[in-house]
Amino acid sequence: MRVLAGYPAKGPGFIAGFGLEAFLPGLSRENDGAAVKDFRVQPQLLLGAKL
Amino acid sequence: MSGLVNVAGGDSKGAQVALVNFASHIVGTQVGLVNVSDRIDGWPIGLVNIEKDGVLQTELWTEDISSAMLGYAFGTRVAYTIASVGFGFGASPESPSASLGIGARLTLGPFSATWTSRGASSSATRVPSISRGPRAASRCASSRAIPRRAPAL
Repeated sequence: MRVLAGYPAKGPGFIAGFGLEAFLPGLSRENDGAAVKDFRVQPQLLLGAKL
Repeated sequence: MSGLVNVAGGDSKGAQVALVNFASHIVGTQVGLVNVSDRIDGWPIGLVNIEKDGVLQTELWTEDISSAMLGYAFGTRVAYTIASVGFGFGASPESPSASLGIGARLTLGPFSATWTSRGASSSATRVPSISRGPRAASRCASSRAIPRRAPAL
């Protein structure tokens, strides 16, 4: 899930916001390849452009 | 209401229900796999929703510090579908990923606020890192076809 704010409303511009990523035991892997042991939800910051 | 394709010219009111819906101007709802309109005053319910005056936008963004994401959003002024691909870079490279999601959009003066839920995502085989140190061995050992990315909510 992500929630973004964009400017301007129409046309090229900027976007910024945050997202949530769920890590599920048995399905997800950490960056180093290890299996995820406990369920957790991790926030993410998002920054970008709309072209 | 129709089975496969429903086409409504001019102004129409109510609900269009079919696998694929086309409308010029509809006040109401389109329910189908694909909904296309010049203008809809209401909510379309479908996997692909396209409105002439709606969202048609390419986005480029970064998540955390290691992912570059490129997405294409298409839909109506209030509801859209977004398809995106992601690439890793930096200290913790990850395999390319692809995802598909739905979103809603609200215009607040000069700003827009959007909410997106990525319903499906996939990731290809992890690429072993060439960096040195104990983490490199760990990455190489896990270079099977394992999805790295966690499901997005």
